[in-house]
Amino acid sequence: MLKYIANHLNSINGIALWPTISFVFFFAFFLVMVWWVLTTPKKDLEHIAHVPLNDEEGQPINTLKDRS
Amino acid sequence: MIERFAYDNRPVRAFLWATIFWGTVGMLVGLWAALQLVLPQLNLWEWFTFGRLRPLHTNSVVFAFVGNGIFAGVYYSLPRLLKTQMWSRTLTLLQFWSWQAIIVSAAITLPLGITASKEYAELEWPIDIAITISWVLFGINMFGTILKRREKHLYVAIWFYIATWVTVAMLHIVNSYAIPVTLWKSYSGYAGVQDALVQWWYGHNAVAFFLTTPYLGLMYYFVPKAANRPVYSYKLSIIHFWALIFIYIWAGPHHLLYSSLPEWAQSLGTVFSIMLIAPSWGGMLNGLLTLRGAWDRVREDVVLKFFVVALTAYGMATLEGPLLSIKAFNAISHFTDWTIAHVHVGALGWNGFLTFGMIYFLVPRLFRTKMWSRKLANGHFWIGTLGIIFYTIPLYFAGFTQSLMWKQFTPDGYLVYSNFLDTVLQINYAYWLRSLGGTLYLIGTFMMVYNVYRTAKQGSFLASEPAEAPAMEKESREVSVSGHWHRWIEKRPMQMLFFSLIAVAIGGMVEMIPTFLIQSNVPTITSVKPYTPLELQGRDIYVAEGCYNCHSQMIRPFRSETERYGEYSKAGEFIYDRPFQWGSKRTGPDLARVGGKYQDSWHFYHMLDPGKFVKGSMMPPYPHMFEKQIDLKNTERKIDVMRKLGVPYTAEFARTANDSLMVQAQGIADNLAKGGIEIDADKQIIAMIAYLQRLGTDIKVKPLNGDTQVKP
Repeated sequence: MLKYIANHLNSINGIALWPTISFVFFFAFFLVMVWWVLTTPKKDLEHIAHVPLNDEEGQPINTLKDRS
Repeated sequence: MIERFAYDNRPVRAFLWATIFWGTVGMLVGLWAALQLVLPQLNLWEWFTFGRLRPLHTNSVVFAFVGNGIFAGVYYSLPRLLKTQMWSRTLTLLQFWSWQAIIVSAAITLPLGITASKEYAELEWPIDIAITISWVLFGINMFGTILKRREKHLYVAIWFYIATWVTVAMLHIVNSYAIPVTLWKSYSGYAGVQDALVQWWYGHNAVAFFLTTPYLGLMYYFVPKAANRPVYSYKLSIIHFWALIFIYIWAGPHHLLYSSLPEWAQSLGTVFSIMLIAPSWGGMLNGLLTLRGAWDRVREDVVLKFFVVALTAYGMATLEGPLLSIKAFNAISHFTDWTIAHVHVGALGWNGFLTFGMIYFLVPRLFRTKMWSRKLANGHFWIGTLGIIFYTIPLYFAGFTQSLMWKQFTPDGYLVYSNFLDTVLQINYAYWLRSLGGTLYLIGTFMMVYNVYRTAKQGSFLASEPAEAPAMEKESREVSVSGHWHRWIEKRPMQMLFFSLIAVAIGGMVEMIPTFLIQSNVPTITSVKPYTPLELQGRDIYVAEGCYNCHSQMIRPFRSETERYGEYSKAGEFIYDRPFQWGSKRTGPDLARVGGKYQDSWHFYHMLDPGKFVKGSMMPPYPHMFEKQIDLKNTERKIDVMRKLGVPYTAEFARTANDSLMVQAQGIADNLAKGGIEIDADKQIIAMIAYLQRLGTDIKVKPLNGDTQVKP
């Protein structure tokens, strides 16, 4: 199976360039994402950050109290 | 409209019990294996020798302890984060039982010597298929739950779960590619250098995507819950996520520095490993800073104590990992106990303590009570922490000692410790102390087991937890386009899955495809010939015994290694090795060029009772090889499978393979008889000797004086 894949990949012109292209693509995505994160107002994310805390209202926070 | 539903706590409880049970078993096996290094008599029968027990320890801790821990945490947090119940109870049950069945089959097959010998992927092909099925069931259930959620936004923990699922699926399928020979034996689809690269791409990312990303997801859920405050910076969590999955996948080759892997691939591994410090520390700080303003509670709450140590251990391990990926460090650390210390900071500290914290958090909630004893839980925390310290520090010392002794030369340029055994005996004390550390850690675990048992007994289990949430409204198009694009992706789990897959697949392909495509990466050596049938059978016994757990077959290009073991290893020497046997640790000496170094009779006596033959050796004896016969029934099939994989045997050769096997075996038996040793030619030890005598001889440089008798 591997040979089959390798043969076909080998027949593509300029495949050596693919890794570089994919890396550039990949890194560009990362930079755009960082740029977005840095420019988003904090309050936009507040709701999401609170999602884990909204699932059981009135729960005791610390359940590790001494045996009564 | 408010909808009423219920969270099902039964799968959470089931996975928690499984986590605790298998965790205890895995740690017990680990302690047993650790003690075998100081008390070789603990190598019991053929089934419980170090080479077979060590994979059982690693597999049970990784896939049984941490694996069940992941599922327990996910089955608890996922429905709650999405305000819905799990999509299918049937799938949950099937997944639970299939996973436990896989663990049981691993616990049976590994001691029987049924192994693919790829570290942390030792299980043979039928079990590999079962793992795939169980993992797919988990994925369907997870995505089904995500699709019918009542919370629009996917919290960051869920992204980590998604990335875990998709990457582990990819890693497992690619690395397990093999051609079956029999029901319980297969040959790897890759050979030599390529096999090593695929394996360490897998091995490294098993750490990344099985031991790290799912646990980061759990961290992002349970730390804010236990601290009762949101994560320190949600923005940081987004960067943490994308940076981590982008970078992690590239770092695998750092396991193969100074090996025969092409230089560019090694450098790629180093660069990405160093870059990993940033997201890893970002994540650790994000977790720790969540406790800002709540540090006083860490004194009171044992859950938070466990989490703080877990995060600190994560920080230490993820700083050390990149450092070990720098060649200058790696030259010292690789093949020594330093690596073992490093992984245990992660395993005992990060995974273990995060799991314990999660257990102490969940059990009182599931059983609607308080923890039976806070004192006992605190005791567990302290004895566990001491256990980690006692485990790792001696092994760091052992690692430095080994490396320095291996590399020390006299002023005249000879190795000071030319006898490898000297370097083993020197670190005996560290192995004892490490066992003590393991014992302490295990005692802590038993304390937890008892505490959990008493808590469950005093409470009453809440099988179904009622909840309510507004139904998710269909969003109008205008709203969704006006938001930020990341908000767009957050709401779309399928797209998220797709992008995560693209991210990890690109990294994986760039790393591996060139090695497969470009001929010059693995230069062929004309004198390297396929194994003879007898050597192949011997090699399969070597694989089954797990010799790679203690012996490497990779001589690095250092003078200290070429002096000790011979010419450094070349990529072209391994083209017929399926699977590769480079190993990752030298508890015993490297064997890449052991062929011709000793006489057949030396190997005969040595394998029969190493401790008696070489005073102080901790190697297990292999008397069963002297009783059992070579399995001649499958020789033909083995040669046929190898032919299919491209090894240049002829079709006729497969038919007559057993004849040629017996001729070679008889030759060895006759040779042994000259020294007064009576043994039948069809015994396994003969095949083993044939394989060992072949190792590295294809391009071996002959000793100048022609003397093949070297002192052990």
